[in-house]
Amino acid sequence: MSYDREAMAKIAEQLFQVHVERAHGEEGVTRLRSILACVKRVYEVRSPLSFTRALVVVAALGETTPALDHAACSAVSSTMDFAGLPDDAVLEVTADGSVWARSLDGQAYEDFAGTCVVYVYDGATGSGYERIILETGEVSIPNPNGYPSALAIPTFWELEDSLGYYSDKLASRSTCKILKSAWAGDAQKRRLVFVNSPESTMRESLAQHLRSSLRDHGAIRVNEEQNQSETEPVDIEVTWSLTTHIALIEVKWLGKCLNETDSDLASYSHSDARARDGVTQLAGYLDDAYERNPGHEIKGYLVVFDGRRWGVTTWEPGTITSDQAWYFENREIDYQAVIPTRPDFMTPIRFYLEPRGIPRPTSA
Amino acid sequence: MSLYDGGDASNWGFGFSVTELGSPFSVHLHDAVTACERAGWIARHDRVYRITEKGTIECAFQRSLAPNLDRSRYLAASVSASLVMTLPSIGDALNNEPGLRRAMAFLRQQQLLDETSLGLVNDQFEDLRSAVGGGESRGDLMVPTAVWLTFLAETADRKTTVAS
Repeated sequence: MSYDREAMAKIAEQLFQVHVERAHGEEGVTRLRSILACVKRVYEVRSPLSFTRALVVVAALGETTPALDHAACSAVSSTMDFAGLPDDAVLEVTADGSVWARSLDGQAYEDFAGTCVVYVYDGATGSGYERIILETGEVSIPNPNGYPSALAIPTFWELEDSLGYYSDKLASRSTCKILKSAWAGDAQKRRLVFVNSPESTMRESLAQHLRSSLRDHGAIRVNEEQNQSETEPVDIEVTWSLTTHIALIEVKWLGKCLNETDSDLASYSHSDARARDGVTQLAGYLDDAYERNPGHEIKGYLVVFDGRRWGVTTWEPGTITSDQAWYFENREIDYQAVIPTRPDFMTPIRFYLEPRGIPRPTSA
Repeated sequence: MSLYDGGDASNWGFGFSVTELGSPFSVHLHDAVTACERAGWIARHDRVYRITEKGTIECAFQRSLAPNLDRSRYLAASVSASLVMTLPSIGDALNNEPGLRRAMAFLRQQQLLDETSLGLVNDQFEDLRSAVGGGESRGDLMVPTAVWLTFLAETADRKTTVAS
């Protein structure tokens, strides 16, 4: 078994751990270890993106004076204290493991490099560039997954990736076996009308996907119908172990379904207004969730299964043209500005469910 | 990493075999996890185990015992990998460990860490020592651990030649 023998040396030249050791010796490595452990603790309760300016963590070398004036700092006594950090925080991890924090107040990161190992998450750039600052320059922290931080458990980002995958690969063509059963089977199985009350099937399909796709980061619970208030449940709640992150997912569907006896279309259909109802509901669930889980970082996701078709007025419908079947493919939901401008309310996601056996219009 | 330090793998007192799915598995470690859970030293929370208060006390005691004094350095180095890599990424990287790859390539050698496999790992560690420097005096093994795991992780993307 042979390999490129130069590869090891090339990797060593690039890794920040090697640079720290070369600059500061084994003591530098020990300090780096305590910094990385501290950063991971911070990200358990604060998303890196919440540091809109910067997160700087330093550890002083040698028996020198502390990097920060502790009289001007807050002592961090528990992980939950990180939740209250300013969005331009600088933290010092001391040799005895205690942590002190204050606002960076515009101080240059490089000021610390002579006497400390320095970690920087640069939120002001928008890219979340992570690096270690040395007197001789800076070394980036490799970030193979492309998320804002390589050190944070990719809770919400991984969820968003997972929702994107579900939309593209499982929902659009109803590839998911569970979701497939949400469609009423007309003679040609064209996926024009849902079965009666399809929401629970859609919720089960999405929850099953999340359970299988979000498993890499320890314990994740995808619980259907979590009670967020005494009167109504949110559809799916996702929590990640070792973090304080919670995602609430509200599921809505648009289109037409059969009545309870499967004999005709139900007397109602769901259109944009139904999605707008979901916005209001989800905002309320978020407020309730904060009351129940103080100090947690919570985000709300409205997902809408869009099975609208134009011109379907009867069950079973007769001829449906391509233009009718695909009419809503590129027509986004009109939320009429009801989406609140709050950072925990994520942009609603529409899963467009394609018709089957009806070619996409060529002029579209 | 104790091999990197010139140690003998058999000193750890347990071996690994490869499962049909290609994962390294140790019966001894598996039994030890069960025993620790029964003793109340670790507790299962969904898909992860967490050390309990009782376990923390026991760990401090075990750490002070002579047979474990040397082991702490190597365990600390292994654990340090999780500071910058996710656990699944570490698992993926270790799938490219030469002995495991050899076992999977030929499907005829179920026991890991045999003489041939150790020879392959030692070849890599020779290059690793040369790459990171520091010689025999290194007290903290975090840096060579990081370089080796990164190397293994990138091995999958690199064209390699498998020979018998």
